[in-house]
Amino acid sequence: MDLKRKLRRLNLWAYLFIIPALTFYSVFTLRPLTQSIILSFYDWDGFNPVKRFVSFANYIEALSDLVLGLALLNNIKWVLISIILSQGTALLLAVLISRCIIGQSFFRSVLFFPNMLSPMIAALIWGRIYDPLIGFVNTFLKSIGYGHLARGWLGSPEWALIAVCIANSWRAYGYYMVLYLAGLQSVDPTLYDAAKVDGANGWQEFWYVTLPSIRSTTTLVLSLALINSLMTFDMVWGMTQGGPFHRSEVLSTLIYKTAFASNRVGYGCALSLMQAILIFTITILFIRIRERSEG
Amino acid sequence: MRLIFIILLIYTLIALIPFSWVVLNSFKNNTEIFSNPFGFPKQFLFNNYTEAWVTGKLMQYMINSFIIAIPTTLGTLMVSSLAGYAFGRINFWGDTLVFSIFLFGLMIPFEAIMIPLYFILKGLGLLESYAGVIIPGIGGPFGIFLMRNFFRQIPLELSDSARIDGCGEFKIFLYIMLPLAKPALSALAIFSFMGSWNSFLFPYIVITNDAKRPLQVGLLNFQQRFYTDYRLLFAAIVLSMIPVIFFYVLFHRQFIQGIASGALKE
Repeated sequence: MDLKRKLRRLNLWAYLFIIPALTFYSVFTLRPLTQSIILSFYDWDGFNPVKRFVSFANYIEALSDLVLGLALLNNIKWVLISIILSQGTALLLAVLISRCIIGQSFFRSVLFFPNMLSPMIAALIWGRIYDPLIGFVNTFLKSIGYGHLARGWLGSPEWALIAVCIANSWRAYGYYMVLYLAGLQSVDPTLYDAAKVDGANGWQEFWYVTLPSIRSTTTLVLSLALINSLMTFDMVWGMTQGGPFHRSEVLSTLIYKTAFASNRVGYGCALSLMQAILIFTITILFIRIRERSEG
Repeated sequence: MRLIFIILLIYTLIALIPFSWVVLNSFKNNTEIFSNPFGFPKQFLFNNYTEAWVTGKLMQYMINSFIIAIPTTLGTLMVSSLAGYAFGRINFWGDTLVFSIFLFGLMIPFEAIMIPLYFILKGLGLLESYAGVIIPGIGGPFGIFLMRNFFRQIPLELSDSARIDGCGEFKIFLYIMLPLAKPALSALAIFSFMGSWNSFLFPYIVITNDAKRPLQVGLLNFQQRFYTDYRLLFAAIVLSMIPVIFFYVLFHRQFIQGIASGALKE
């Protein structure tokens, strides 16, 4: 009798509601994740029925992999360029829109639009913009008399990564802009009045009132931008596929190529787990920072 | 004040330049794209569009995208609302543990599961099929999280009075809670449809058969096939933007609010 009542209080029937979600999640997320961990200790080409156990060899190889180093360096460059471009644009536009009295929702909707496009459509648009023959950039440079600067941007070892990153920032800023706008709306308006009374100019107001007030938004946006930058794939794949000579290679394109083009499944899994640990660490770190600044 | 308006207006015009350039060029032939890159087309060539749509198989790609995105969305709505209800409304043994296991999923990058997922689908015989893209796309921690947060806000009295009237738990969910959850369900539907429509890497590894490829994967193939046939590429860009524009006009408010409330992960 007592046991029966206890069991009822456990509400185990609730699992009937969760079982569908749990099944999908276990089969298509948790199981592949554990298999990824196991496979990272094997040498396997994806076809051979026999997998060769190599212990930590894949991880040790990664430490001296020059292409991996290059990809990681490109990811870091990507983070820096996109923080300047997409974060700068997003914050600037958010501040301007929040100060604009007429047409606020119009500007917000129109300037957000590029973020609605899939990375592949954006890659297709920017692939044309950078086209060596008919591209917007080159034809524009020629028409204003700077034809000598024209080049095949995506085929250039110096420019490929920067070109793709600019294109990506064009697609990405809208998302961050909306987050900054939400942050700006929660700033206490009396602070601005106080700043005005003290005779602050626009720049001082931004620097001493706006920025400190939206610090938690900035932390959130920066962490999202950092994580997204470390997982970037689609636009790079659509524009350069990591070329020329790995000069625009990033972690995700390298993982894809290792597993599905070079058929090095075990090594690909090891690389993907190293990326996951990197992202995991950054996420935890930012959660800590947020907790500390709020608490 | 007027200065801010003018800066924003200029910025908007700059932001629209790539679009107008693409649209104008999509009506020209290849020689005119060379000779007249910025101007209006001398003659509007609509057959660029019909060629991209039929010969370029853009129509097929878009149909495939719908075939994948609609069941994915419906499945996600069902699975997530059930689980979200349990996490949001019921105290049961192990609830926090199971929920944190789901939350952990938000931090797993797709790359970390993609390689074994390919081999799991291969083992199930689901490679090269729509189902191979649809089924693993169903559910997901994000939808569960969204639905849970919504169900938690509904006052307890509603379900309590139904329970007193002798309503079973599943009936309470189906006839009382689900109709109340319409705003959350429509937000989830919009996000998961858009997510499925825009996703590239997953369908790219599952489907290599061109006849079954969704739009995003098809576009990459299109670009490689018609690399120098510029007029078709421009027309293809415009055609693939049309559903997005349509979608955005209908739902831009929900979309922007969803992001602003922190509900949406890029």
